Parts: sequence; C-alpha cells; structure tokens
Amino acid sequence: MVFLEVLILILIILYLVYLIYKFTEIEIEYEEEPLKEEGHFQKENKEVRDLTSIIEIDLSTETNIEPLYELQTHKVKYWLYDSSVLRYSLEKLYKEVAHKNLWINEPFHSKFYELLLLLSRNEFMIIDKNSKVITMNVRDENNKIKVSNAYQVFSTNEIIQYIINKCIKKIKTFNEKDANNIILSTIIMVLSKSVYCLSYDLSKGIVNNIIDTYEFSKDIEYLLKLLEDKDSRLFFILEAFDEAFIFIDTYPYNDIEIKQQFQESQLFQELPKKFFLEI
Amino acid sequence: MAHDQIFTLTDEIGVELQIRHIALNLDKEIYLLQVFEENKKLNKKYIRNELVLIGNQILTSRFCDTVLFMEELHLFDIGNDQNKYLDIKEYKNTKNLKLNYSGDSAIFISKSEAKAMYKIFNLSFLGYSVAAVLENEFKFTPQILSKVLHENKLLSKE
Repeated sequence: MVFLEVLILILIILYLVYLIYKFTEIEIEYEEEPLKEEGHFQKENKEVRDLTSIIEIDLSTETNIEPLYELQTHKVKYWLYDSSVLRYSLEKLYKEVAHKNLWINEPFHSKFYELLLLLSRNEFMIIDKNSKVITMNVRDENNKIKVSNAYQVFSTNEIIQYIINKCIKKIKTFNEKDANNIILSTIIMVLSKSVYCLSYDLSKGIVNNIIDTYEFSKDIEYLLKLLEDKDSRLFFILEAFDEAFIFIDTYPYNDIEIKQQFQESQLFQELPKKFFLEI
Repeated sequence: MAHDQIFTLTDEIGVELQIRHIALNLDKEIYLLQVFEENKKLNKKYIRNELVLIGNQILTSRFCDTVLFMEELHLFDIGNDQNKYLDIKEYKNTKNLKLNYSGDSAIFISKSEAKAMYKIFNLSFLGYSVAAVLENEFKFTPQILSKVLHENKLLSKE
C-alpha cells in the first residue's frame, strides 16, 4: 500500500517536471566563439535589413509580374515516315536512330527508311558457319520423294539490331554526317554478307542498287572499305558483328521455301509518303 | 521468323510429339530418329514414326521406308540388285553393303555392323506401342522436319 503511494507520488513529480520543461524554454548556453571582426557582425545585420526591405516591396507589386509560358514541345510535329508498316523490332530501331537523335535530314532519312523497309519485307539471312547441311528425302502428299536441304541460319535483322544497339553510343560521338554514313554502311555491310533466297549474288545486286542511288555513295564506299580493311576507327563495329553471332539464336531454314520467298519478295518498291507526326 | 517460344512438335489434333535419336552406328554416324507420343495418364508411349539419319542425310522419312532399309540390312548378302538403299559389293573376298545415297563419301557396312543395327532397331520398340505407327503415322513436311532437326541440335556441327 505504501509502495503504491510512493510510486504515484514519483509519477506526479515527473509530470510536473515535464510541464515545467515544456512551457519554459530552457536555453542551453554554448561557449561563444570570439568574433574576429566586430564590424562584420554589424554589416551582416545591415544586409539582412536591406534584403527584407526588397522582399516587402516585391510582395506589394504582385499584380505587375508577367505569367510564365511553358514551351509546348509536346505539340511539335516532324516530317516522318510511318513506322507502323515496319516489323516491330525494326520500328524500334527507326525510333531509336531517327526519332531520338532527330536525324531526319535528307538524304539519310529516306535511305535509312528504305533499308529498313527492305529488311522488314524480305527474309535476309546469314548461314551459320557451324551449320551442317542436311539433305532430306521426304515423301510429299503424293508420296513422291522430294529432296531438300536444311540449314541453320541467323536472321540479318537481328544481327543489324544487335550491332546498332550496341554501338549507337559510340557512333553518336562522330559528327552527324559521319554518324549517319556509319549507320548506313553498317547495315549495308551486314546485308552484303547475307544471302537472299540462299544466293549471295542476289543480295549483292540489291545492295549495289541501294548504294548507287544514294547521294553520298562515295562516302559509303569509303566506309565499307574501311570496314573491310578492319580499320581501327571502325573496329568497334566489327567487334559487335562478331559478338552478335555468339548472342543471337539460330533458326532452321529449308530451301523448299525459296520459291515462295521469291514470289513474296518486295525488293524495289517506291517509298511511301511522309506524314507530320509527333515523336 | 519470330521465334520466342520453344518449338514443340504437334500432330494434326494437337497431341505433343517427342523425338529421340538412337545411335545405330557411331562410326558411320547412322542414327534412328524415333517420333513418339507419351500418354502420362495411362503411362504409355506410342511410336508415331521412325526415320533414318545417316551423316548429313535423312535417308527415310516414313516408317515403311525405314523398315525396308532395316530388312535390307538384315538380308545382307542374300539381298539382290532390287535393293533400294544398299548395294552388295565384294572387296578382297569379303562381302559388304554399300550405301546407295547421294552423300559425299561412300559408306560401307560390314556384316556385323548390319546385324548390330538391326538388333538395336528391334530393341528400340521395347516399352513402346507399335500399333500407333501403323494406324496413325505422323507425316513430316520438309519445313517441320527442319525445325525438329534444329530443335534437337542436329543441324549444327558442334
């Protein structure tokens, strides 16, 4: 009983101490550092006074401040090609290269889009060096034996995407004209190493046609020569090219599909029109 | 050529089929490709086709052709020039079979090799139901066969 009373008394005393602390601010005094210049302290005071007077004046003239206009950059439209006709992965590449960097100047823009259209509509492939060519004697619906060959191939689209995505940062360190030409030369280099309908000649013919119709064809040819000679300035492109074959999956290909592929080929068609589009 | 999903072989009604390749002769690279269907509920496996792969060639794509090849092996020198796949040749008084195919190198099969291959072919039926292949054989097209070979890593040299 007594113990309880003592406990209650202690609690009351603690509560009183708390109240006293809260309502009377007990200032803890620190040792003040001696001021080096007496005058400095006085100057500061003066500056503070001046600033406050300025703020007071500003508040009183609020109605004369002009409103800020935001830049309407989201409404800017550019003269672009329709990217939805391209395959999804090539559409991404078009946006990554042309939209993001605003490399929409001619003649690069049209040539780049032309190459992407060509890649999108046709199956270009690179035959795997490690591929076995398996000859198949398969009986068809009429039970006649048809001979065909099966290959292991890489998709040229995927190789090009890998190289450009890997090297785009380094390519952007060049000036715009050179960067544009490097992008085109890279695509053309990979195309020239690909087959179309299992023929190197066909794809080379297509590639030559594309280069000839480009305004800066001499620059492209020069860059292609640099790539062929493994010049140190463009070595990063060749490194990415070799690396692509390690990381990208292969596909099977049967040459019975050649006739169908040729029929569906859309090699040289007119470029579609451009539209005013937002990025 | 969008190829994000793993290729699974299915027949016309959507039943999943599996392939296994059985080595008949490793020196001559002769394999038997067995296409089968597995019914896990009934715990039964049914053969749906058998193909012969020699080196870089699919020699037979239908069960009847595979059985013909095996029987020609079995006959060995009792066969004759009506053989479709194998010719009987004699070299230094020993008879052997020369494979009749359009591959690069000539392949000769000795008597013991032929017997061994025939035995393995018969053993490959153990545990599997053969009735299904006679009733419901799965017929390949060149494109599907290419995909199957690719999936089983038979198209690469490594």
